[in-house]
Amino acid sequence: MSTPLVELKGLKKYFDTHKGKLHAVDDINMSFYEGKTMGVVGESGCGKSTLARTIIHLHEPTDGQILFEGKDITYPNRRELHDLREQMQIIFQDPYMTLNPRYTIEDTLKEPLILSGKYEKASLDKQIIKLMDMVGLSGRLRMAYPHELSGGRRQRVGIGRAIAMNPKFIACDEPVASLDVSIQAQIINLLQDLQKDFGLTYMFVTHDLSVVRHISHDISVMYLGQLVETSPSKELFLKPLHPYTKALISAIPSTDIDHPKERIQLKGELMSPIEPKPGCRFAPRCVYATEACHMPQKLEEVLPGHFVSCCRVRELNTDIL
Amino acid sequence: MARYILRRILITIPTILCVTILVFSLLYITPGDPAEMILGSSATEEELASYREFLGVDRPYLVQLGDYLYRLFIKFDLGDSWLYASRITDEIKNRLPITFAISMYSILIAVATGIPMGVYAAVKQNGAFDKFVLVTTSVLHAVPNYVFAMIFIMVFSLQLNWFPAYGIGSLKHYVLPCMCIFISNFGSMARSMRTSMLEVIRSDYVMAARAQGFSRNVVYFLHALPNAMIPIVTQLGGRFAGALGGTLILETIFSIPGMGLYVQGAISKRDVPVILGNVVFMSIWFCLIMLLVDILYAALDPRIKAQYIAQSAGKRRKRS
Repeated sequence: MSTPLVELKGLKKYFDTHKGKLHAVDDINMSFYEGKTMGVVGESGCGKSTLARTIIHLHEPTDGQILFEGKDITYPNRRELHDLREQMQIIFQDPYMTLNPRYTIEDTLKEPLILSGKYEKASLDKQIIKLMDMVGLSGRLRMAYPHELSGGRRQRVGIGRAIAMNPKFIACDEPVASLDVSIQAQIINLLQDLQKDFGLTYMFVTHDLSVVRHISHDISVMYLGQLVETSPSKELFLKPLHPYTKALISAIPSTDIDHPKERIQLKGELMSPIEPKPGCRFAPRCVYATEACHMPQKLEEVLPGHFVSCCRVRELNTDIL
Repeated sequence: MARYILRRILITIPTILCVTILVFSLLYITPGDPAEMILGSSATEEELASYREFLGVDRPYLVQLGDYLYRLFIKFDLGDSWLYASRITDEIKNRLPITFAISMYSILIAVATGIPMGVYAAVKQNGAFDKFVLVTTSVLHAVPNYVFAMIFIMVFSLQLNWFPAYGIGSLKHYVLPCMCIFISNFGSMARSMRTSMLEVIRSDYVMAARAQGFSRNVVYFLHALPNAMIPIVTQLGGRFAGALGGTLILETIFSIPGMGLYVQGAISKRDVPVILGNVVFMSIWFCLIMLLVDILYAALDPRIKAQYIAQSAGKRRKRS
């Protein structure tokens, strides 16, 4: 396979708390290929948003590497960061909270354009109209304030702001989680159209499996800061290998009444992400857990492009592997 | 915008009227016979009656109220003191500049120092400077300003002989009282600026702006500060509005012939017209400052302006 656009090598982000280090993102290896969408799923608090923000350099990584087009960009200097902002962008979950309430749509969209220094005053206006058109906002909304817009329109502004500088990589941090289902579909279609037109690479963070299935080429499943499984999208839904992924997939409601699915119900609580013990973090809730699960786990390629971090994956999936 | 200002002014007028009537009525129902108080218990019944007639307090309530309102709003006259020959309006005219100067100097210095300190403390949250600001402002805010007044008089005028201990005259006279009022304003100003700034800094749109590629400091000044200033403007309005009454104790300590000393004397001698005149004057002052704050608010916060424009546009559409 070609070199990935963005590659993470053992990326870690720990936060200091008064109880100890909180392992929000722990030793993540992940590759994002040009023009593709990598879905990142996991329950709330598993570190998927932190991962997105760390890649985009809103958090400073604790350890590990971030590569962009093969170049190490883990700790960029000012100049490099400025250039990176044009290459890597982010769309946030709540478009109302992330738009400055005192800025009109025009002000918000203008900012990245001015910052880049690539636009003259005259072409700025044209570019804003073009941008609004690209994300499906009518030009008459230029002077509107965020509170005057509906959720869907606000998110379109958020998307417009992210694509303003024509980036290659966009981290979408739950971009549709706060929208109505009908609007969700519109926004996802918009994101897909933009991907087709500009060859964008997405990291699509979500907790909604039906959304991620629709948009992603590959899917990574996270559990408490760690990657438990990565696989091509279709394969993940057909052949989930990690016990946690199996539980997630089984929770999707089925419309097939002739073949009712067996739901795997997880028991027990999430363990604390603060100073966690080594070993599989899912083990305390896993029905298959043995002594070996309390040893550190390794991400292993069990099928082409399908990685699983579980020491018992082969014995549990004898029918597939 | 002009319509917005006009509407605010129209709302202010009945407010001032109501406050005046309320204060007048409150002082009217306070018990005690002014004539007996002034002439003493040795005065005869005839003397008391003629004195009441002289003061005008023998007339019915509504007549007195009407007379007061007429004089206040048509002739801009606050009446006469019961005890002294001077007219209240003239007294206020002489005393207002002194009190005004003391309050404004100290508030302005508090704004000029407290706001930057609050902002810096918030930006460097949990740093050494932040902790220093938190501790000092707590102390300055908690200790009443008359305590500082006593300390300052002892240290700076009695011991060091740098500044005069009482009276008003040269610029030097202003230093100590201004410092006392400054201290109490500064503490709360820095603290609320810090809190407000922290809240805005933590908001998602500040993070979003950073993702756009702005450096931290630019985001703080461009995105965070204007939003963080909104509650501070409200608070400042209250402070300016209350400024005239806030110096009461300090004027007594430093024997400054300002508004505070005037009211204080009137209260201890139950000189009702003076109390009434001062309270009414301060209420009007308060209403006017608040009017100014409202207008400033709309200029600062586009949401308020936009809301008003949308409202009036809606009304116009309905009418046509």
